[in-house]
Amino acid sequence: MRVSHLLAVGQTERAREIASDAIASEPNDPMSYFSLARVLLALQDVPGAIAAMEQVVGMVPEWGAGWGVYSTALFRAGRFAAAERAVIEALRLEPDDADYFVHYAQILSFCGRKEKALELTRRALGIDPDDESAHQLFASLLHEVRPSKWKLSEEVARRAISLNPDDPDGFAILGSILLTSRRFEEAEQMFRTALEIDPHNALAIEGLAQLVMRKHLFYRPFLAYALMMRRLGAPMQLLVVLSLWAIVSLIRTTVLRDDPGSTIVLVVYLAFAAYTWFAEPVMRAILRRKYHWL
Amino acid sequence: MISEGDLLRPSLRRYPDARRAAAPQIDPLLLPYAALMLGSAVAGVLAFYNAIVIRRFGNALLALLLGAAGWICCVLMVAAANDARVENVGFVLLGVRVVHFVIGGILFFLQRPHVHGNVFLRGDVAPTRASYFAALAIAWFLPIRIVLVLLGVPPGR
Repeated sequence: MRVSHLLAVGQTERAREIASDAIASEPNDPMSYFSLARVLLALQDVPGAIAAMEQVVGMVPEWGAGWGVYSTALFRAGRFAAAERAVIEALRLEPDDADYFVHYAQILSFCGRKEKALELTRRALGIDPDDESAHQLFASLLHEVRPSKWKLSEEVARRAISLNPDDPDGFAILGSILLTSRRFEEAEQMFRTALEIDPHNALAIEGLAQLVMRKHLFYRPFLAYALMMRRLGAPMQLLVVLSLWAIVSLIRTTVLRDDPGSTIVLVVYLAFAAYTWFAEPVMRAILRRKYHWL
Repeated sequence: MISEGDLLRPSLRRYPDARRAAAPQIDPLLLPYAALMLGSAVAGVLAFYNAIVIRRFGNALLALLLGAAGWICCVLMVAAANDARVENVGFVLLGVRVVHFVIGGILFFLQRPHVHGNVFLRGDVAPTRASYFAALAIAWFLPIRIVLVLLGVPPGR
């Protein structure tokens, strides 16, 4: 209890001394090791925390919280498969703890298993509808995995905003939903709020780009391509550029050969490839031109 | 919808543990690109470096073998095209580059989780865009004979 209080007020060194003393006086008490592990995690001593938690789960293997903190320590060490096994054990022992579902979803989300992570956050919200981190993770995963499910996102975004009015993602998601229902001014206000909280919020910037596209036809092709490339991500951008390069090479070597058109095709391709790489800064420049407050 | 049984079934058994690199790693995205521009042997050497700095020696050996296998495959392709008296050199080179790109893609998928793990542990990765332009500049300024040899075209063919 005292260790928890010291951790809460930031006196980690003092907390470590007390936890170490507790282990020295009662070496068979799992709570002493548990406290020490939490202190070591706060001090970024992850190997030490793992060692302490191995003692805990060895002494009390039927204690869910022990496996939960053990999993956190393993995850922080980058031992993803072991962290997964530990959190599954925690969930087996305490299947009604939303925190373990969220933690498991975070591990899977990091390792690219987004679908399953989404399902886990859904379960967490079913257990604890007021879990703020579950709302945030659910909203972001839903946005990535099922971008068409705006209705559900709206509900989650409104709930997330009510739980945490300082969360920019909540405002940005809500702005995107309002945009799809053509409530442009409200949407702009939501994006503005999100960007006031976090000036680099990707979701809000995308939303503003969508707004400009709807209002100005001239910018539409540039912004649409920039947004598409942004959503595809760097690996797919590379694939687009390389696939086109392969097509251009094929056309130049088999059809055009020494024709002057060969150079024109190459120049067009290079311009296209350059815009693919620099679409993001161009998009930001257009947005700044349209929204001076940005 | 994922069933209850599947939800709590481990799905990361084959996902490698993260290791922090001793020196900056190269973004694995560069590997297919380097393979396309300079051949799979060069991409294999880059992947070898990436694996060595995180002390994954099996992965390092696999990277070298894959790079070498791609290069040898392309040498055989060019030799076969030469024996068959194929006149469209550009077409043969395109096929060769496709093989190199595929090998680079395999190297990308082999290296991605390791580099991801290094980033998770706050390890360094060389800037991606700068690396692309460096590879482009090297491919551009390197004498064509060297590029052809790297792509698997034996001198004199």
